[in-house]
Amino acid sequence: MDKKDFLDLLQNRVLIMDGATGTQLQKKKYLDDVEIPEELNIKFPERISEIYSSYINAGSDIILANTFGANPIRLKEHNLFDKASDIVGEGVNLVRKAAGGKDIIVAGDISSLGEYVEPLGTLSFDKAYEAFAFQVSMLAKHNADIIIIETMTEIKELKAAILAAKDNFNGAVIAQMTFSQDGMTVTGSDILSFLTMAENLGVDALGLNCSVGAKDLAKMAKTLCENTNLPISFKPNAGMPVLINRETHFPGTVEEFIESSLEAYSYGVSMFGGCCGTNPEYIKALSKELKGKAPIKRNVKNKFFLSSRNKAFDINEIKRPIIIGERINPTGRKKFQEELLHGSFALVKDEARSQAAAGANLLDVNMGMPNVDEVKLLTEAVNQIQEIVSIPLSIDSSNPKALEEGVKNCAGRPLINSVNGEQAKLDSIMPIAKRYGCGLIALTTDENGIPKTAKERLKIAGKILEAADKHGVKRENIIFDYLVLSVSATPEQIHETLNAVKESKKLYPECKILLGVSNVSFGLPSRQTINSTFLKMALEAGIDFGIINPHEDWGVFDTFAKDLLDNKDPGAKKYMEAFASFKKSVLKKEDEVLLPLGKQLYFAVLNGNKESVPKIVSQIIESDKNPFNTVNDNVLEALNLVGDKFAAKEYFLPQIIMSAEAAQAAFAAVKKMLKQNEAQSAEKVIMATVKGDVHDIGKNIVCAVLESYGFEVIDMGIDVDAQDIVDKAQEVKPIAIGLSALMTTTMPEMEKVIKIKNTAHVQPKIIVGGAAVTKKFADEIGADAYARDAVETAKYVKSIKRQ
Amino acid sequence: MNINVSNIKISYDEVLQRLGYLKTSERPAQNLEIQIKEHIETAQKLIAPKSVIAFDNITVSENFITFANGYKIESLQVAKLFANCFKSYGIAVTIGAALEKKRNDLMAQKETFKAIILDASGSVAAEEAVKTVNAQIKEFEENNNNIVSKRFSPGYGDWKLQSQEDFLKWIGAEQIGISLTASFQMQPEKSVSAIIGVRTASNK
Repeated sequence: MDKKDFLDLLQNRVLIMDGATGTQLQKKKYLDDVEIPEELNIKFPERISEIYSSYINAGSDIILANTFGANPIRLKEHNLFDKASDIVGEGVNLVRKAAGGKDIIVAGDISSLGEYVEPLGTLSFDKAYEAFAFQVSMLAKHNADIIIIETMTEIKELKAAILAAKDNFNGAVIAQMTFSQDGMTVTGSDILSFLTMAENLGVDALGLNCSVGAKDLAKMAKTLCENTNLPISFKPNAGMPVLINRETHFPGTVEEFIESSLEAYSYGVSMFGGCCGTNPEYIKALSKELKGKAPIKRNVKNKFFLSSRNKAFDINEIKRPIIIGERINPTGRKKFQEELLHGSFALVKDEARSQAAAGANLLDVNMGMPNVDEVKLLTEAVNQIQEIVSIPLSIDSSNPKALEEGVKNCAGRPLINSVNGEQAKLDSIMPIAKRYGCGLIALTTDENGIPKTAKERLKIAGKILEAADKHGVKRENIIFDYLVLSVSATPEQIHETLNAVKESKKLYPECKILLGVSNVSFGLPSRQTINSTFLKMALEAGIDFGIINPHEDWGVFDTFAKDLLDNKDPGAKKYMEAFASFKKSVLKKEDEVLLPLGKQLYFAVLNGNKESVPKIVSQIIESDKNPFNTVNDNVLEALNLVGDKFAAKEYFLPQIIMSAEAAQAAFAAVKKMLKQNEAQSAEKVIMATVKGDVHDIGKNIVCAVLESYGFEVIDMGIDVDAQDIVDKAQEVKPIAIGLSALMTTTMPEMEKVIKIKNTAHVQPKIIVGGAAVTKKFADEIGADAYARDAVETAKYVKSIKRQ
Repeated sequence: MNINVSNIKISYDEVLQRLGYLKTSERPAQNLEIQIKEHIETAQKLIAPKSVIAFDNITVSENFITFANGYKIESLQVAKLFANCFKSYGIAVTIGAALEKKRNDLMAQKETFKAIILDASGSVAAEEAVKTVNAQIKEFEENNNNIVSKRFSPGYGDWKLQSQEDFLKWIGAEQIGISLTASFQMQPEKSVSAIIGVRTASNK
């Protein structure tokens, strides 16, 4: 069945999907002799055929092939990768056989890879995409009719799966996510952010499965139905499972399930099935009530959603102007550039937080500056910003590769900033907007630069729309920028810009309009007076978006500025008379007060400000005769005070670690920048969690603090054999060995290390610690020292150094 | 019985306490607070709490708790805690492996600060999950005119950690992905197992 046939069918009648496969297999004890359920397809095909048949007999129109977890990552884990084609192929073929000539739609089933995509997890987006692409290709090869991506809980992983499905499969693609009772996925995305991303990536239908039970899911289905015209699927479980006495109990009943399914039908849902805990009885009842019914028609209009990982908003419901915060941009900002060059995103994150707090609806993210890897920088900025704010982004670059990576790695539906009327730009940017379903800011310039008249700009807008049509980008997704020029240089241009805005509303009513406001005041005093006055004029002309600094006061409206902008103040004479003496008050921040570099480093470590450390250290190296000593003395002085504050319970673990990280950054920077022979070689310390114990967080904290004091730490990890520790000590000759154990059962291993060490006549001192370890125990086993925490450990190891 | 831990929320105050902050006095500076809260948000996304319980009738002697199905726990302290109890629940909860994976990855990248916040958040979530199950059992039993004892976990007091293996087997902890290392530590690390006794209200 091709995509068109499937979608036509869905227009005409409700389709019934299947019920739970896993629960049924478990209940019948069919999973006892296989590694994973998908292995049944080739090992015990009769078992999976029995489940398929039971649902076909119950009335299912769509059967999900048993390929849920047949992705390369999981197949490799279970040594089944070489059988991938057979597993997927049989998963599909067995449905066809079970159908026995009936018109059953075979859905290739895809679910999570079992690992989160960066930055939440450690799997790269591209690796996730490859894994899904492999599975989709197998399903395509074996002629699945449609693909259903289901039980997804993380939106970036879903994005990879949808793209892989669309790239490698010609049939219809349905995306389903799983939500908790609060209407959020476990990774914090709400229903509308799912809808926004999936719909704009081009799925053919979307829906809900598993989750919290039918009743709550029906309410979520209502939200979907009210916000999209795409077909919706509804596949709830039989309530939240409870595991009691080795049995899985589902609290739901067939009656509740049917009642909620009927409710979902009334909202416009057109595909129904069941998830965990349901069985053919549920599907039979569903078929009786809903099979073949005409779907309720929906007519959702005028929605333009943008989204982040967590939230989506319809820009048509936002008060104008929709504010795009402009501050994440290194252009003309030296400190911002320096930090980025040193790999620090601290200022980027500060700007993101503060602009979101100041009321920005979106954040523009631009990382363009000379001599940097913009692709890498923009991707990293997108990841870091999305970890801390939940408003959508506008990905801003003139480099198409950087744009594509930024957009691809963005969780949700961002804007692209920007394309223009140049043919080369249209050819490179339009496909990105189409593939990722983004909104697209389009500047009305072309190869000849900025046109002087509104008419010419509108003509370029027309050209851009033609290109959008050609590339399959919907016109509604285009946001025109009619370009703001400086009123001081070209006062007549303000009228042209505003005129273009007004005319655009008539000519291209489907398209939104944006202006970057701040340019208007370039070269004049009291810029915000002009900016704010101009924004009001632009709003009257009909703009939707303003790229502005949300921290500024946008309530200002000034008649001098208005006259200037209306070109009634030649040479800006009157305006200058009124504002020439205006000076913007700039508060000097505490950290900008000039301290000697050594002291700056001292405070950076004391306050745990690791982001600022590399720059200070590089300045010390440039200007100091003995940079290592300056760094060393100031870092250690700060750490000593941090230690004292910790002892006095003024500082706590987070501050210790932040200071340790700042100190580590200082030593790392100094080592990198100084020639090898200029740096003093560090004393070594071996650290290990003893045999049998797998806890390492405490040990790792000690490692971090010791490194912050400049020691070279050899971290042997967890579950380390006593003999291996002593062998290592003989090899590297440390001044101390630190042993960690969390459990009373593994503490005796510490004594073993001490005994082997004593027999081997190895020199280093042994210091022990860990939750259950006490001073008394340390004395009993003959340890040289006991430390309660990382600071005490460092204090002791430093004392050895001095001996 | 309603046993559900899927809505566990990680409390900022609880995380602070895990990190050594005292209950009422010291609070982190605003900039530190923002960062800690952001990392707790990440932790919240990485946890997938699950629970499993088992229950059976028991007889309690001086140092044994004998279950109707033949399973036995040897511990004077548990026996004392379970005096007059006729039934016992075993509980296991876990927050899954994703948070620990991310924490280890951060540690390897020397992002220690972020790693310790995730770690503390994971501990808080696991503790909250076991508290939640405990409360749900308590509510159910109290509605049936019974009283529940305090919680007790393998490895505490005289209940040997080695008993964990049989205990988890009885509960069916493997169904929620909990396994044991050779030295009887639960994997994922942020998992908790515990036992609760039930007595009739008249045996208060």
